[in-house]
Amino acid sequence: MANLELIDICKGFAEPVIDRLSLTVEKGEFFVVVGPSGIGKTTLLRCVAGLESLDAGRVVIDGKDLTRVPPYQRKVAMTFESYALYPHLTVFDNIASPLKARGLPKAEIAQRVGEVARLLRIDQLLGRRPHEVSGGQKQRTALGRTLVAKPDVFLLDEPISHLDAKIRHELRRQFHELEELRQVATIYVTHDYAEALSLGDRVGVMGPGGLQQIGPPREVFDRPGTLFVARHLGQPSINAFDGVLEENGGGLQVRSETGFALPVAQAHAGRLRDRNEREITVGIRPQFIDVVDAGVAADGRFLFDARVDLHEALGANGVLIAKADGQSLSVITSTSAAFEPDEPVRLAVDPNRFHYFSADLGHNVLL
Amino acid sequence: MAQVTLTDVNKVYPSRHGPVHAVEDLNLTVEDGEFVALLGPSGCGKTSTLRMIVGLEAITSGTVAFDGQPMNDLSPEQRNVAMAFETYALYPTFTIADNLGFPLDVRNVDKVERKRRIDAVAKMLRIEHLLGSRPRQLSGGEQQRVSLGRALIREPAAFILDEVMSHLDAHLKFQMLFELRRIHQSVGRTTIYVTHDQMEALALSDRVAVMSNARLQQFGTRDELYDRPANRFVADFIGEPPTNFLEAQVDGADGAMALAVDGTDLRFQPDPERLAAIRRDGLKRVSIGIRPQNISVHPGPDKAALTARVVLDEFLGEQSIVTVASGDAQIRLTAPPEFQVAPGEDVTFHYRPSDVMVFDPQTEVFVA
Amino acid sequence: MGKHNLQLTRRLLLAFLAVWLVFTLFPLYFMLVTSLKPVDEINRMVPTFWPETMQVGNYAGIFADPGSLQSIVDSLIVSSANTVLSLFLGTLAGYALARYLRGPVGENLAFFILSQRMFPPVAILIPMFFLFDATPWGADSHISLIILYLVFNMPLATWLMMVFFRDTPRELEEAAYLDGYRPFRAFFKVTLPLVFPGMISVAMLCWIFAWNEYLFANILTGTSVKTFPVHIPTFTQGSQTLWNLVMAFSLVAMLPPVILFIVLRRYMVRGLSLGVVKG
Repeated sequence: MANLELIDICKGFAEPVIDRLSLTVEKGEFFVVVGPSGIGKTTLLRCVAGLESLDAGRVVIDGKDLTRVPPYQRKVAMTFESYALYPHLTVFDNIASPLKARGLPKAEIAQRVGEVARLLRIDQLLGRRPHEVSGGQKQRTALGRTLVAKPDVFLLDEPISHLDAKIRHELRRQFHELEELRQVATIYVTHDYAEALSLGDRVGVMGPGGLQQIGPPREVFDRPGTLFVARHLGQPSINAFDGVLEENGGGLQVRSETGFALPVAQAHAGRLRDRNEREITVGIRPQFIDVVDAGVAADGRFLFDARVDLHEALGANGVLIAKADGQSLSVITSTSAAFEPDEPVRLAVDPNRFHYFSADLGHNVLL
Repeated sequence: MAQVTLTDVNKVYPSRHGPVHAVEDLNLTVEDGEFVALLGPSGCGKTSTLRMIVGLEAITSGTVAFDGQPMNDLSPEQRNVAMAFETYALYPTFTIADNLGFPLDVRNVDKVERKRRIDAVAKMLRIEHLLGSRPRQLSGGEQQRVSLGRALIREPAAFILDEVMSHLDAHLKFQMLFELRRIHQSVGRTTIYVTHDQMEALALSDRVAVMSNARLQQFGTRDELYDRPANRFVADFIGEPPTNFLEAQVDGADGAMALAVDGTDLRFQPDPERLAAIRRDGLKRVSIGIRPQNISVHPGPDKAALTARVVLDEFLGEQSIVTVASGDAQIRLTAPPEFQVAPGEDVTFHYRPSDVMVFDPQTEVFVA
Repeated sequence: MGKHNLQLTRRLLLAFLAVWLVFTLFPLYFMLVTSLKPVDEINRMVPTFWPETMQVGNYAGIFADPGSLQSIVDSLIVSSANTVLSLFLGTLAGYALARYLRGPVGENLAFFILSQRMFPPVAILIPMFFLFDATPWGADSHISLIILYLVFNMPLATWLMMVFFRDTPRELEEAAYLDGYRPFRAFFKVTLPLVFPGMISVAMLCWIFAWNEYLFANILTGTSVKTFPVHIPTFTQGSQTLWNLVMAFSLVAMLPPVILFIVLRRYMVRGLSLGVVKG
């Protein structure tokens, strides 16, 4: 049992980067921390590794309190965002470094480095130095250095963020398949929500002060606990605007400052009425707004007219920015769609897909 | 405002191991007011091309012309092009206003006009509130906008933007894409945008010039690059998730011809257009390319179906990517986020035979 | 126009370099020529630019004096020992300043250390003599010069090493801790190899300073220990300085640093350009 427990850890006094964070990562669990850059994700990893001392709280691995144990005695392996490969050593010696630190016999080192290098498909590069290999190969070398150590805890800091899209796909795949990573507790840090959702057994969304929501990928994406979480997961970001709730002929509707009004679904109305708060923030994911033809039937959806502001065809889909009654909305479209600026479009939304967040704290009021 | 024409442009650098051809026989015309991206992996020659257009690099042979006027012998300032850099290159000791105004100072623009233009550019880029700050007080995205502003303020013949977004994180990059698109729509000036990121290139440009190994591989619109890539390199480089490539044997007689993928029992059905092309070129073997977005878990009219075992189901939020395998072949396909399968299950997937791209396995050239 | 400007700038720079080259090489040439002349030809009023009588024997002449060789040996001992000490202490101090004393305290301390190079050495010349004379080994010894030169070389070594250490990313050491290396081993295994080219440069600077130092060596030593700069003025005959021997000996004395430089140059040129973190 090599599980990792973080108990009430705090870091930073005046402006706490981490404020009473508690988390348990089980043996074999792949836990992903996702959040915007500069929010303290790396600091969290450094605290677990022992490179940063805690201001309060405890780090416990396998039931042993390691809070005061220096990094070289923790059996924690970490990859750095910068890779931190030793530039004067070959790929082989870089990977072998943790084994040499333990003074293992040469033959065993060579054998274990060879295994890891074959697994990561860098066995052809062992004689090269870091500056002679590509970015993806550097990343694999850094990963090899952590894998070879057989640590109790893996910490991976933005391991694939700086690589090209294609190599990212390939390495993401590799993270899924590496048995070694699935046998210990792993914390993986990234700012890329797609990477987080793809890889994590559980995902923790980090905001100011700590983890705002922890849960399985589908849950944090479909049922965001706060507006912050909803905004960070998804691209383009969730459409969110402030409005007031008002009765409209038996139903409830929400109206933005600019006068754009949307109906509230029956299923949500009761909960929203109970709150007795008129101010609310509505969130609608861009993929749940559809562009429809003029004559199409509502079919349970709410239809409204808008005008094209901008349309961009991205890789796999397009993004339309449209304005409806002064309210700007992002819409994910198909690749084949073409729009001209100022062209009128008809949009359809399903009110059951809306999220509602309290105007003051940004909590999801439906949960 | 200018049309930029490159005719038979070559760039050869001397080196210890003999001359290195950085750009080979490049012909390219960027129309007046057009937004064109120069796209390619590092070392493909795009930066050399850009430096020759700007005048920072001598042209070994060929002509760079603006509106038909050869520019080869003119210095960068005479060419009147404005450039924004990957590293922002802001002057750290100047305020933002002075950074923006710097290109005007060299040209002796009077004070009133200078202020008017700084304010206009700042308004367009939404950095009015930052004019009194200094570069280090700004975030990466803000610095990038200032850097663009310094290029915009000059009203040059053409804008050259060199990897200007590679240092921004994903969310910011996304916003800046729209910002840049909006700016181009309002300014309407010839813009050449250099990048290695295909998503940026496709999102921003009217046309994209894809370069590799010192040569122009293809110059076309997004749809042309997507649907009719000139060769396997372009098909591979453009598109995310990456295009699936499979090696196949042309099998069966004329009426029932199929493309049998090596090492599997998968057989792709080509449509008549592709059939005709394969027959025309007399190909016995082909490389098949098919984009993950063009393979679906939903059946549809005129779609063919195949079945394979799921290796990986990745939920990415707005969509899922499912990787399936049959024998040695692996195929990625996209699925709606509600679709869930476990590895080991069989999944049937559907594709339009007309979406299958066929390449000559030897030359890697697009066949149909 | 811009292009022509660039060409012109280039030519001007080349012309300047040529002039500068003549300016620096001529003294060397003249030393060589002088070292091959007989004394009376040197003292001629219109100097000759090539010896009329070639007197190669001058080189044999300097080593006829047993003090010559001994002075080179003394110089080698003093400068090498001093360099080793300066480098050792400077590296440790520089590392401490770079890693553990960032912020105003460290900045001020580092500046204070460097400022020791700023006072005029001659001001402490006499006090130093009495100070070292009071030690058990006396002023006229190798050890007094070795220690005295630390006053000048250690601040320089400390400052430069601090700068080199600051340029090496801390993350590399942290990666080594996580690999299981204790701080001291991590320092030797990871950090030191990265600053090695810098250490070579620092060693060269220290060595050359100690090699050529005259003022202190002349006052403190001269009898049992005599470094070569102190030995040079002894090439006289009556009131006449034997310039040919002085020049011949000076050229010989230049050989060790030149050889050292040639041997170590490739480490220095490589510098810190290992491309440390990202490619």
